[in-house]
Amino acid sequence: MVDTEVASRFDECLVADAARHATRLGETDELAPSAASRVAAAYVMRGFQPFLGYLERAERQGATITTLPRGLATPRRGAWQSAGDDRSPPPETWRTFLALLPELVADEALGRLVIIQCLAGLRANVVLALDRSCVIEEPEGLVLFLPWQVNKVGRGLGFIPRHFADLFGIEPSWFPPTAAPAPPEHARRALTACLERTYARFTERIGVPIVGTPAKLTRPALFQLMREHLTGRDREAITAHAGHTSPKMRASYLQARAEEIARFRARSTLRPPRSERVDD
Amino acid sequence: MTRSIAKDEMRTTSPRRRASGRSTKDRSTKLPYLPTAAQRAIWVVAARHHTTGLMLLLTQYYLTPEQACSAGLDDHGALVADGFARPILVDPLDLPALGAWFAKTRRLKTPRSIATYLAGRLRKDVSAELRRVDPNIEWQARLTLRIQVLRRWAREVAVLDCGDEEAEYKEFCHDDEADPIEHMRQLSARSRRVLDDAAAVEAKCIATIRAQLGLP
Repeated sequence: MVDTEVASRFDECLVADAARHATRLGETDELAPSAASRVAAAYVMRGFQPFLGYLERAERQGATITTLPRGLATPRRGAWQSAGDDRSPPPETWRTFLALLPELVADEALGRLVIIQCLAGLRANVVLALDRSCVIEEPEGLVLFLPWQVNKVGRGLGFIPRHFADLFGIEPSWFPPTAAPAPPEHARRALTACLERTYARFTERIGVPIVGTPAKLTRPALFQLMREHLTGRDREAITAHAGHTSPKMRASYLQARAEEIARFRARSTLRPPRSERVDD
Repeated sequence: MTRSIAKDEMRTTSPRRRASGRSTKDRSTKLPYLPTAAQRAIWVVAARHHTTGLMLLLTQYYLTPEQACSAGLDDHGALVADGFARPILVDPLDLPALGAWFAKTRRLKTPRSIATYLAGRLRKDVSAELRRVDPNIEWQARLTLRIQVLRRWAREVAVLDCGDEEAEYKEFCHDDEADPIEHMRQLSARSRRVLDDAAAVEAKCIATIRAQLGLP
């Protein structure tokens, strides 16, 4: 079993290895300390990727892997860490944000759309393309028929559970009678800016910052929040909610996105940035 | 580079897609599930068309059109259909509708006629019925009523009825390898219910935080 403790111990070992290797490089190759540590980090991380592959295989064989090692915080931090890592805020922050949301967007013209975006976990473009005819009321909540023109994965369904709809008072009348299937760029920017303002107001009010790209933040945050109450058997539901028709995309949500992280890291390892190449 | 990869992927996936029998246009414009309102409308229209018995055979008893055509009721009121070793027990409440269907002399007797009825007259009237209830939605453009859709609907209902009893579900599907989770890949009624239950817990937490912050 690989849990947080084991993963962090592995990361500590990686740091120690890199430090040792950097010292050796400094002594033998007479490299400057910063260059030595950069080269050592790249060297160690190259061996890290096969280990992630090994963990993936072990997981397929039945091993329990709850947390993947993060690797080194290299100078190009984003290259190793940002692609598939969960950048969503802690559940408690997200709950507080949702609790304050109606108040935060009270003065905004696009406030209702922001609420829909946060609760349905949809992209700004998709939210703007929704009209009344896209909303189908079900006993369990509102099903949103996402226009295929704007949805990245083609036709899909969004969903706002009944309990959320009741809590926020969401009704089909919140949606405009008609909407353009391809919303203009300025409208998308306006909605994203509105969401950013909402985050800023939240930070001002509570003092807890929400970092990251807002549009990308809402989806993982919502799914993370909902996933807390779902068992392994129920995960199909959240992947359906994510709206992906491809089993591969769904799998990325199912397996704690380990596959996605590994794939990204593999790509980075195959082609390290120029500054980290040792063979130049 | 990316474009060529995407083309390759399309090339590899297109034969499978064609085999599913649905056009690209269908996939992009039709609803991938049968809304509850449509399910209700189907029973209303079927009663009007005197085809409730047929709909029960296709959904409640999960028969294929071929089996539905050759099925019949035995002396004890059990359903006899091709491919089943034993007669299928019939719910007493379904007996009048099934009896009326089998008593009809001019009923749909071939799989093709059933398919034509589902995709033609039934779909049109169901769309009209739905439009009467909610005129905002272009139901006719979004609704598909084919045998596959009806069978998926039947499986969804079965999953909800069977709960965690996989054996019951397998018996309903007449398939020893049927897996309720595998079958419910779309946003099914079960998925919606699961998500709503998860949302209920979160909504409670959010309401508590609101109360703590003194918000209405």
